[in-house]
Amino acid sequence: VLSLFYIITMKPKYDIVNKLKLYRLLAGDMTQQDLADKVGATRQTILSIEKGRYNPSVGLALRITQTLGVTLEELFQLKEGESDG
Amino acid sequence: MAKWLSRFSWRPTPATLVAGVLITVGLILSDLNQMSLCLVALGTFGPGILRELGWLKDQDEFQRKAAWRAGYHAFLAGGFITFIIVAYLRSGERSIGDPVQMVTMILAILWFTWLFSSLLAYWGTQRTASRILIIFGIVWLTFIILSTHDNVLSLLMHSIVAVPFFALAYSAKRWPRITGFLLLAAGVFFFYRFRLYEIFSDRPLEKGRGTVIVFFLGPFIASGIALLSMNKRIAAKQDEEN
Repeated sequence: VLSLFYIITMKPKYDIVNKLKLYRLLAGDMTQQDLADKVGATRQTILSIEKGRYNPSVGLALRITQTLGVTLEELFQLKEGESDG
Repeated sequence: MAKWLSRFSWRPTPATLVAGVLITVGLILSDLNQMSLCLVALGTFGPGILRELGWLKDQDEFQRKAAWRAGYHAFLAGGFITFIIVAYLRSGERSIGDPVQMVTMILAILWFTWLFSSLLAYWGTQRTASRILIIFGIVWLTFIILSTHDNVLSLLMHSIVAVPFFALAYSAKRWPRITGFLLLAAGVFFFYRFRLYEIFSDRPLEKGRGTVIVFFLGPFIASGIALLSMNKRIAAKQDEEN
């Protein structure tokens, strides 16, 4: 029952994929901790975004794009073929 | 120490450390005076209350969201079970026995749900299941070493029981769905093997049965269901990383 709660509330209605790990490494081999410190988050948050377990708020997403020098669309995309049902 | 803890994607804040000390001290002192359980309550709920009041700002948005979600899951699970118990009691057909056992079981449900949901948020499904199984295996081995240390053959024979825990911990990362099914099967096996079905008897919560089910079967059942129904994209991504 507990896991069902988790499944129901955690499964995204549509998939957002990101290239955070790629752009982080392209930005001078930045570590997760470095990026976390620069955007005012924890390493857990960066790790969870990279693993696709967490979609950041607009504010945090914008801070990340600013730090990495990429656009929001380059970093995050809606996965093709999926809808917000 | 901090580097070792960071491997677990967990870096405790000072408030979390203070809470941990309060919980530990409260539990130790509860042998002398049960009122010291108030310290456990303070450690468990204090930081959350301070955060909600806005007096403690030691979490970022992901941590806050994980805490809120875990709290909501605890509310759903705890509320659901409590209503069933109330209906059971009000039906007047049976007595639930010792009220302390009942309240302890409800607290166990709240706490376990909150913890499991938090672990899933921080570690993801496969890693959570794997680490829970490793902890079970280590606890079993420790118990065996402490109880049969004077008989080497007995120690070796009983230690074999720990092997499936470690094997499942490995397979949770490789074959999540098969492992999920095996975990559910293990849960059903233990339910009958340890006579936990007596929860449906006239004395349902005798010998702390309800709490045992939550803490012993809960991790198996919850991990099993989570592995069986995990997001395919995330599973594929984690498979690549493994």
